[in-house]
Amino acid sequence: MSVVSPVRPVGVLDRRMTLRELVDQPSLTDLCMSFVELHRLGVKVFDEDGARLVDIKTGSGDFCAYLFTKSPGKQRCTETVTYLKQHPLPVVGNERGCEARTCFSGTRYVMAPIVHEGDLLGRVVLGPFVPEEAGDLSPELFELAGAFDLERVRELQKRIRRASETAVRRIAEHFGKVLEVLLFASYRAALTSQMHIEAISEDYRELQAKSRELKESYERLQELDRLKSNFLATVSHELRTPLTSIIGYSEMLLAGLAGELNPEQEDYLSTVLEKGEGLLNLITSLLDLSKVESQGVKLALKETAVPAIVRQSVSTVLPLATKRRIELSTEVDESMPPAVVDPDKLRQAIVNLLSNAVKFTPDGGKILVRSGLLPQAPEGTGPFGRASRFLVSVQDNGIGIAPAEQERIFETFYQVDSSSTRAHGGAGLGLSLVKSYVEAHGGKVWVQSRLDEGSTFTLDLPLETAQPARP
Amino acid sequence: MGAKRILVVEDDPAILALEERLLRHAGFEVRGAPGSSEALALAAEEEFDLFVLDVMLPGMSGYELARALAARDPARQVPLVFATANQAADGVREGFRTGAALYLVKPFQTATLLSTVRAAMGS
Ligand SMILES: Nc1ncnc2c1ncn2[C@@H]1O[C@H](COP(=O)(O)OP(=O)(O)OP(=O)(O)O)[C@@H](O)[C@H]1O
Ligand SMILES: [Mg+2]
Repeated sequence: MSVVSPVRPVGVLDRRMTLRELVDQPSLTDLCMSFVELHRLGVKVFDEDGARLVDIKTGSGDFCAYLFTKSPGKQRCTETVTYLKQHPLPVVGNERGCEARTCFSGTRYVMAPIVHEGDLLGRVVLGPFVPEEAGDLSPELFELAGAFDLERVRELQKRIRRASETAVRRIAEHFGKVLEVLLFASYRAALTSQMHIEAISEDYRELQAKSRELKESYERLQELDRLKSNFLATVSHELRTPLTSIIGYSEMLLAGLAGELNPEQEDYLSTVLEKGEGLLNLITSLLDLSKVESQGVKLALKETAVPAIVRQSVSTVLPLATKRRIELSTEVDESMPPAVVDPDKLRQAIVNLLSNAVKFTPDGGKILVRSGLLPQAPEGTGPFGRASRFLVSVQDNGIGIAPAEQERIFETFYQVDSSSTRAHGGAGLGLSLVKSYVEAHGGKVWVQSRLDEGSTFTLDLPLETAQPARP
Repeated sequence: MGAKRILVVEDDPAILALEERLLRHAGFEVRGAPGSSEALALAAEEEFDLFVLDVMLPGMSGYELARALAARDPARQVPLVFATANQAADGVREGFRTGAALYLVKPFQTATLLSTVRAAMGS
């Protein structure tokens, strides 16, 4: 067995903290401000990587800005700044010490290390100041006389404090001491908050582990789902194969291919055929339903002539209706524009309604199928006054449905009367499929019915079903 | 011109007999094969005007068999009917990719078998 040791991040105490983590930025800025005001010297603070934490200027702003406007000035200024930020401070004894740097403009800076518990955390840069001993402008500025108006430079330089380097070095040392106190105080605060952060990170790691577990179990579920639909596809295949023979041979015998049948034989065979077809319908619906449940309804949208779909649906149930002496008539608006729908799903929805109508209407009854545009419903009207929805309705004068049942019949497996189920067959799947298919198109289905008088089922569908967004 | 010749490949013997019987009764000349090797052997000996292939055959699938049959004689495009008891639509698409003319879902009504076969042969 292998032991897995959890990988932990470096803890607070094991790790060197950066200046930025250690100091409280507002306190540092306050401290620097008071130094700037006290000594009339600019203060910059950089961390070890040269990132700027504080930059306060006094007096030098316009001077530097003016020299920065022309490219020779800009370039030399940038050199100075880079030096101030990054150039390693000199080692004095076994510590880092201060260093002065003179800019091309003749002004000077003093850099001092920021040390905490022996670690070099960054540097403070004081300046610029005009060195006490300096005369007029620096020789380098005279070299650039063509680029700059030296009178103006002289004017601006007057605003910068004159100081001796020794004094500024002393100020820098003093600043370092004060900063050390600030760092000491901040360090404790930082430690506490850092520990908080680690506690939170620990929680976060736990959360991550949890969500990984969740993801894994979700994937297992998906796998199960895939197996389930595979299973259903296989079962469906295994049931349909023998049914092919049951239905096929019955039909062949009934067609007299093996010789004349007497009426009794014909009757028995018709029963075999009918039950076989019932079984086939059940298997088909079950697989359709499980598909709807596992992956939702996937529409294959196409421009479709609705009247043709209605005719095909009618012809599917016509043999059964004829046998039951049910009059099946249609009122189809042939002039309606093509609809963008999934033709197979629409056909199946209509066939399901029609087979119910045939099933629940006594011999000699009447069924009427209508289809056409939705008559002037204001909210169903398109931008140019064209109707944007169409209806298909199936009306029968059969047994009807009591008001209390009219909602429930759309539920999966729900049937009004189990004894009527015995008489009629079916499993209560037809209408739930109709509902799923119609709703997938953004349409609806409803029933109007009176007990013992008949029922009308209506599909209300958009003329143009929007293509679902691809995930 | 003689009767059109159909090769039916189907591993379920009851269905094979049923299809042979129905097609013969409709006036076609029919050869039946219970598997792909028998089908390939028959196709090597005789010329056919139509193949009716079960999709779920043991070993080689109906689609693979269709490709193998087509590869034997690429010049002659023999029309195809795929018969399958798989109701899922994915199979339908694969059938069309191999260039199948038509697709027959089992169980089928006898009339559907005949109309599909006639439509595939373009008569
Ligand atoms: N036209 C109708 N007249 C009277 N009752 C109906 C009609 N259509 C549906 N019903 C009632 O609604 C129930 C549910 O119908 P649904 O089509 O979902 O199932 P089914 O027809 O019983 O079975 P299946 O459609 O799965 O073969 C039916 O059992 C019946 O009680
Ligand atoms: Mg039904």
